[in-house]
This record gives sequence, structure tokens and C-alpha cells, in this order.
Amino acid sequence: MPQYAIETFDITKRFNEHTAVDRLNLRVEEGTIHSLLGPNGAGKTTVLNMLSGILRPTEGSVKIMNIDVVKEPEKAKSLVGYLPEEPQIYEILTVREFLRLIGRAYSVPRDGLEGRIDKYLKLFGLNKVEQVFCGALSHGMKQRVVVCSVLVHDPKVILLDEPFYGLDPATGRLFRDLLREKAADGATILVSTHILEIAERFGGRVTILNESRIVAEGTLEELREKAGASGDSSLEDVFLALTER
Amino acid sequence: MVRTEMQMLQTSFELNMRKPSYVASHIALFLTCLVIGVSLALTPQYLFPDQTYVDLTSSDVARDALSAFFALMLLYTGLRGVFSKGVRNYVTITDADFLAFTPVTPRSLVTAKYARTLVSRISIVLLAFFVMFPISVVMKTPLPLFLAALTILTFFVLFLQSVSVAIQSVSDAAQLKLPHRVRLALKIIILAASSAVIIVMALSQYFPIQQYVAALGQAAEELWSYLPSTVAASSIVRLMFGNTDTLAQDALFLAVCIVASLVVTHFSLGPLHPEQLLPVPSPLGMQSPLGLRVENLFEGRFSWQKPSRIVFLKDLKLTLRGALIDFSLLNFVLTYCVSFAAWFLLESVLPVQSVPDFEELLGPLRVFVKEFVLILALMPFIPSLTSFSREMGKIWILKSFPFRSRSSAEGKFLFALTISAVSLVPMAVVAGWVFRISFSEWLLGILLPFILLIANSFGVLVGAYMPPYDLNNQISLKSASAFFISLIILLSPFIYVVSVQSVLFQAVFIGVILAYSVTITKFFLRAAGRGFDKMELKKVLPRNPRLEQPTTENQKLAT
Repeated sequence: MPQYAIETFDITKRFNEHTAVDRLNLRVEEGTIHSLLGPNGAGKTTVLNMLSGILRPTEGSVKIMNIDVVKEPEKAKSLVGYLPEEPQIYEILTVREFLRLIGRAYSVPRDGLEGRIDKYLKLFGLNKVEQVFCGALSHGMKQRVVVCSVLVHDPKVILLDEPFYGLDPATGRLFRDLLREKAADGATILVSTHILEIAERFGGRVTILNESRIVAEGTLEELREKAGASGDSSLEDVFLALTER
Repeated sequence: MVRTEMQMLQTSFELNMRKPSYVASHIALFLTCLVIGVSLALTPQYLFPDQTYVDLTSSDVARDALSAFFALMLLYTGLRGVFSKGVRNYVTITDADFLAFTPVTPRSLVTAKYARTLVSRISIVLLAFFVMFPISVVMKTPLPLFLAALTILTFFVLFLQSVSVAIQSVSDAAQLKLPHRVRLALKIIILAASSAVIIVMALSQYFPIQQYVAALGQAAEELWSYLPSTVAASSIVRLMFGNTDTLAQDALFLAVCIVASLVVTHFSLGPLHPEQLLPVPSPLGMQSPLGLRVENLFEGRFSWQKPSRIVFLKDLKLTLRGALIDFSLLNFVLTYCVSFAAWFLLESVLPVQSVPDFEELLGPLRVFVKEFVLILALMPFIPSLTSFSREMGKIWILKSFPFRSRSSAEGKFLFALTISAVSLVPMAVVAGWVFRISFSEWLLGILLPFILLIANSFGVLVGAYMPPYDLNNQISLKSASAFFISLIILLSPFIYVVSVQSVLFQAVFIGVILAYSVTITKFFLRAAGRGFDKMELKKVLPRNPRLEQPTTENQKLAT
């Protein structure tokens, strides 16, 4: 029986009269990379915000590694690394200070923290700007800093919202490889994106959201079957067929 | 050209009227002014029969005092203009984006924005109404003349606003022409000259202002008499004393000043490039060694592992770096100086000591006024009022931390308490000296930390429940409403205790206040934690009901 790192039970999120997510049941197996696909406004970001404990579901419950995010938020959040779609970071903290803040917040032991920061700074080519204020960096460099901040506390569950936006191809590939390594080490990764190529490259299970609901879920082959598409049809064809465009 | 600006103004109004936060902050501002105005109006000095107030009914003294007060307002406005971020103040990032993809000029946008801010300035007129009306009753000023005086005051307020924008736009235009060092030198000269004027104003309690200015020479006196502040003050005093001789020419003079400021603004905004409206780019690295030293001191002292301390140190670090290089903090210092000067002048105009039995009759109320001025001046230093809101778009970081929400609220509270105590304690000492506070009042000065406890925790609570609408713009709602409520809650017991002279009673009272403060602080922080939990990252705008109606127009649009 598979172990689920992420489970949602009929979660609904309403903003005033607008329902952003409607009775969603999502399960992500431990140690896998799972893609969350959907057109703009489908509710992907809201789902990730609820999984990370930033938003509270209007109805239903969310479990991360079997811990209820609403009932035990601190415990659940300590297992999660979250990268939002357009992250704003503290402009007048230096890159190293920002990563240090994140590490301390997630109780990374003091003696190991600096080593981890050094490792990721070097890996993402940030060691030359470690004393520069985050606000002075370009969009792409800021994105690298936030990526480092997700990895620096070694989370069990990684939630990524359009993670490759703003990253150059080399850094994008590096990050993708790192994510694969993390998954191989047992971390669970949920990637929300509307770039179908990314999901295709990860090759894991895919959930397609449309108009606040799940319209399909499975591996690419299962989705092809569901959409009645041929064996060589791309994820784009499957996606368009399932979202009725 | 003016047509475009009017269209922008209309759009700006329409957009803001849909924001509940904008409407609420203005209601809070007006309510605050109403309370302050009524409090001032009810101060019994104004209700005394006029024969007791020889000095008040002397038009010269009243005119000089009011001229000095208005001059300080003018000075403050000028300094704000010089030391602010320029017309960038009026523009948000969204506005800058709007400019980028539309043919609207920065001039039209800025003009519309600052014209809109005039609405909040009307609150000053409301405040003045409550002060001037009882005076007009005492002086038996005819109603039309009282209204004329109020109109002149409105003109002066409008002039202050327009001159402030004129200075900012000229300063921005100068930015294109003058090198950084020259601008810095100019600012320092202006600051030094302004400080000198403030000192002269403050000393006016001991040296009549006219004499003092005359000593500086005939030219200075003439300059003084032609200042719009002097003209407005003299005109108001003359009208209140039933004299309409120069009404038309004074009104015309002020109108010309307003138009001149607008013309200056219009022309200096012409060459403004949209780039100048973008947010100031962050510096590359730490520039203030003093800030670094303070940070290191704190970092070495505390364990970083406790959630509330992590939040506290993060905020402290950001504030030290921002505050130490931010000249806009000067505004608050100036507010304080202006408040002190206002108090000096108030005592000069209304010689409390010379009224028989006045101390016995009005002792507690004097304390009320002192505390009122004190709190008014100190409120800007209480940073918790915008605590969670200060995070703005970065709130996701704090919300995703594995902390109890209450710990985040406690961190905010700890930070707010530290910063406000650092700025308040020296100010309280100076205030004690300036206001000549008695021993008994000093004893009650111990209440100040408790006031801070409650005010800060209340500020954190308000910040948690009333975040800015889109988390990209910081708005004044928090400070206005928190200030309004804190003022009412905190001043009432203070006034009561001062009226009772028994030291034992006062000691017991302080004990009770301590217990009350701690309890209510805990309660507020718990509630703030809950508010922070519920805080959404963004709020969804309500649907526009008009679009959903099946009107003929909508049906036409649909087809």
C-alpha cells in the first residue's frame, strides 16, 4: 500500500463568493515527483498555499506526512519547503542573511547551517553575491536565492509553484536534477505549472485541474487513455483534450 | 492637457472609493479629528468669560501666536517637501506600470494623485472648526465672519498641500540638473536654517516674536509679514475680531499663492520621466556601520532559535538598516518639535498661571492636554501599528515558517516595544522638562511603558486583522484607527488618577494598571495570532453588481 506524503480530503477554498478550489482530493506518493497542471485561474496556487499552511481551507482537511496542517500547523510546516510563484524577499537582507534566517526558522543546527548555505550558494552561482542585498539582484538571481532557501533546510515535502520561471536554462537543468536527486532520497515534490514540457520531463504522476476541480489524474499513459488520445500524443494534446479547449 | 488630468483624477477617485481600506482609513482619520477637535473645544479655557482673558482678546498677541504656529506648519510642509522621496510618494508600482503601457504622462498622473490627497487635508479644517467655533462664541464673532475665517484657513491648508507638491516636483526636476553632492549640501543648509527658525519659535515664549524678528532687521520683519502663513493668520484673527478690512486682498493673495504653486508644479513636472517614479533601487550592500554595530550587539546577546526572537531580530535588522538611512524619519522629529512649539504658544496665548484658582480647577485637564500632545507626537514612533502590514508581499515567508502564530505576534510585539521604548524614553524626559511636569505627574509617567505595552499589542492586533488590501501598498488605516482607540482607552484613567493627590492611591492604581496591561497585552497577542492565522494573502474584489444586471446595455455588449 503506497504511503502518501500529501493528502487532501475534499478541500474547498472560497474567497467571498468565488470558489477557487472545489472539493479537491489530491494524493501524492512519498518519494515521487508529482505535477499539478491547469490553465490560468484553475486554482493551482491556492492548492499549494493551502498545502503549505499559508491559507486555511474553507472546508476539508490537508495532511502532510500524516500531520493535519490546520490542527498542527507548526509540525506540518517544519516538513515543507515552499517556493511561491512570484516570491518577494526581504530587500535589505544580504543573500547569506536571508538563507540564514530561513535555516534558523526551520531549526537547522547552527554548526551545520553555514556549511549548507555555502554548498547551495556555490551550486547556484551565488557565492559572489552572498553579501549583496537581495533587493539589488535581478529577477533570475532572486529566484535562485529562493530556490536555495527551499533546499537549505532539507524539507521532506517540496512545493513548487512555477519554479523555473526566471531561471536560465543551465540553472533550470541544475534545479531539475537536484529535485530528482531529492526525490530519490525520499523527498516528495509537487510541482505546479502550466508549462507542460516541465511535467513531461519529470515523468511522474500528473493531476490536471480545471475550473477549481480535478479533471484527471494519473501517469501520462493513463491520461492518454482517459483522453482517448493515441500513444504518441504529447501531454499538450492530452491536456487540451481533457480541459476541452 | 488639463482635461487629461481631470480624467485621471476622476479615475483615481473611482478606484479608491471601491477600496474598503481607503474609505475606512479616511473615516478613521475624520473620526480622530472629530474627537480631538471636540476635546479641544471642550477645554474650559475657551469657555471662560472674555474679560478674564485679556491676552486672548488682544489681537496682537493672538495674531503673533497664530502667525508663528502657521509659520511652523509652513516650515514643516517645506521640510517634508525637501526631505521626502519627491513626487514618487504619490505613485505606486501599479501606477508606474500603468504609465509604461499607456500614453498618460507622469504629469497627469501625479497631478491627479496629489489633488486626491486634498480630501484628507480637509480633516485639518474640521479640527480647526472645533477650536475656532468656541472662540468665536466667546468673542461674539458674527457667523458670516467666522465662516470667512474658516474659508481663509481652508485656503491656507490648500496652499500648504500645493506648496508641498511644488517643492517635491521642483526637487525632482533639480535631480536631473544638480549633482548629488550639491543637492545634499542644499538639504543640509535648509535643515540648519529650519532648525534655527524652530529654536527662535520655541524661544518666543520668553521673547515676544515681533520684537525678536525686529531685532533681526527690518527686512526680516517685512518678509515675515508677507509670508502666506502670516497673512492667513492675521486675516483669521482680524475676522474673528470682527474686522473685514483686508479680507478680499488676503483671500486674493492666498489664492494667487495656491495658483502659483500649481503652476510651478505643472511646469516642473513637465520633464519628469517615468523612470523617476519607479521605486528607489536597493543599495548593493550595508552602508551604515552604526547599524551593523547595533545588530551585532543584539545578535550576540540572544539565542536565535526561539521563534519570537527570530521575528524580532529580523524586524530589528530591517528597521535599523532602513531607519538609519531614511531621512523621512526627520518628519516625526519635526512633528514633535511642532507639537512642543504649539504647546508653548498655547500657554502664551492662554496664560494659565494668571487665572485665579485655575490650577485647582483645571489641573487634570492640563495633564490631559499635555498627555494628548505627548501621545500625538509619539504615536508615529510606535511601529507596531503597521506591524504585520509592514511585511506586505513578503508575508508568505512569515506565514510559511513553522511557528505558532502567536509567536510571530509576540516577535512583532517585542520588536515594536524595543523600538518605541528607545525612541520614547528620551522624548519622555525632554517632555517632562519642557512641560514642567510635577513630581506627582512624573510618578504617573511610569504609566507610559504600560501604555506602550497595550498600544503595541493593540497595534499588532490591528495589523493582523486589517492587512492592506493588496499587500503591495501600505496604508494609514492601522495607525489612524489604533491611535484613535488607544487615545480614548488610555487617557481616561490617567486623567482620573492625576486628580487624586494621594501617593498611596496612585501606587495602588499603578499596580492595577500593571496587572491590567499585562492581561490585556496577552489577550491582544492571542487575538493577533488568530488574526494572523486567518490573514489571506490577497483579497478578492467583490463582483461588480452592475455588470451582472441584465440591462439593455449589457445585452447589447454581450451580442
